[in-house]
Amino acid sequence: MEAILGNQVMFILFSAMIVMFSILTVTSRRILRAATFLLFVLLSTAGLYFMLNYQFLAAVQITLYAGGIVVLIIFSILLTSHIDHKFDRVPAQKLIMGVIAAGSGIALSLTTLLTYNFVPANQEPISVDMNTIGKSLLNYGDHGFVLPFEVISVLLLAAIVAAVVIAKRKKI
Amino acid sequence: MNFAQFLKTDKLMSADSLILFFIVATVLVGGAILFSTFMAPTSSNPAKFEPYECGIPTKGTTWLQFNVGYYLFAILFLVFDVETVFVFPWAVVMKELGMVAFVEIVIFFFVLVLGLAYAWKKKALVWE
Amino acid sequence: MLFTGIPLEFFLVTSTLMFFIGIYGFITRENIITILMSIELILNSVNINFLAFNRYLYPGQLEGHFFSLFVIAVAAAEAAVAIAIIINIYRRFKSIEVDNVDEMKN
Repeated sequence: MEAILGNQVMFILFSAMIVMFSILTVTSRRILRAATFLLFVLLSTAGLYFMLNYQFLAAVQITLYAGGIVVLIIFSILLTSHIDHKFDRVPAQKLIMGVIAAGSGIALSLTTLLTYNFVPANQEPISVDMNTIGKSLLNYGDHGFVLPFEVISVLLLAAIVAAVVIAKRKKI
Repeated sequence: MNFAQFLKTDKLMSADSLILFFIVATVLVGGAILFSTFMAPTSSNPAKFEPYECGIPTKGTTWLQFNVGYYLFAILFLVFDVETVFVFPWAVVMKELGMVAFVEIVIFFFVLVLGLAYAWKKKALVWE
Repeated sequence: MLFTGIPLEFFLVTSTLMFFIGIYGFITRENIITILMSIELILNSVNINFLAFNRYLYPGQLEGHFFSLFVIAVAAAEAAVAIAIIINIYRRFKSIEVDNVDEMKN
């Protein structure tokens, strides 16, 4: 009983952090702060992954998202923006349109998912340890993921080539 | 459950210990900051805000834009970060799966090394 | 089990809020980098959904887990290319506000 209460407290803590920092990310008027708030959102998301018992994915979330993508975003901010720069306030018309779009979307989705009855499949839960992950990743039979695994490398090749072409151009 | 009992249970990743961790971290850091705020003597004069005690004052802002060339190193770091994520599960099961896994990872590496070779050939790895 | 005591709906509500906050940012922001950050929020909320569905509804399979893994990897490549484009736009227009970037050639 106590463990259940503890889980719920942790979950509410993480999701409150996610929602709060998400709002700050899209409303902050200083771009570097927005990037920092995004970092907090990503770390709290990693916390939710830990709560779902997907430890490997939580680690990936921290290394790739929090450690890689956020660094790249901050890098591009340093390249293109000025630290004293503050965004203008959002014009009222745009603000209203945004709130209407987001609010109606939230209302629609929440009514749908809270009235739908989710039925769990009758399956034996498997433990998601590194052995299972590695075997499924390299498996070329059923429930194997070797093709996306190889295709990802081509995608990364494209990213390297794009970066080299753009960064080596002499004119600035 | 009191604290002594709590320490005896070996639920390493249970939510209770996470909550305890949060509380201890908050109290420790917040307590240290509060303590120093209340206890430290405060005084302020204009000389304190000078960057150096002697020498000439700095000119302009400290904010200067980076050379775009550094961006390339950031992107190469990100690409090989992704690679690490995919190589790690392979390394765990490599012995068990044997040749098949080896061939798969060789293809994966080959494509990525092509990218590295391209960057090398374009002199993108030269630090200017 | 860490997730006992939390209904599936909790995760879905969190990810829904995150998704539409991302949509709001996507609509209202002017700066390309902040638009990119809104997109990252949207991608993340989708990942939470995949994982929650996988854990609660199909605990015997790993499809949602791997889909999230590949989404994260693709998001990394996407961010790299997007930022390369942003830097090029900045060189050309000296600005990364979307309103100033309205011509392909000048």
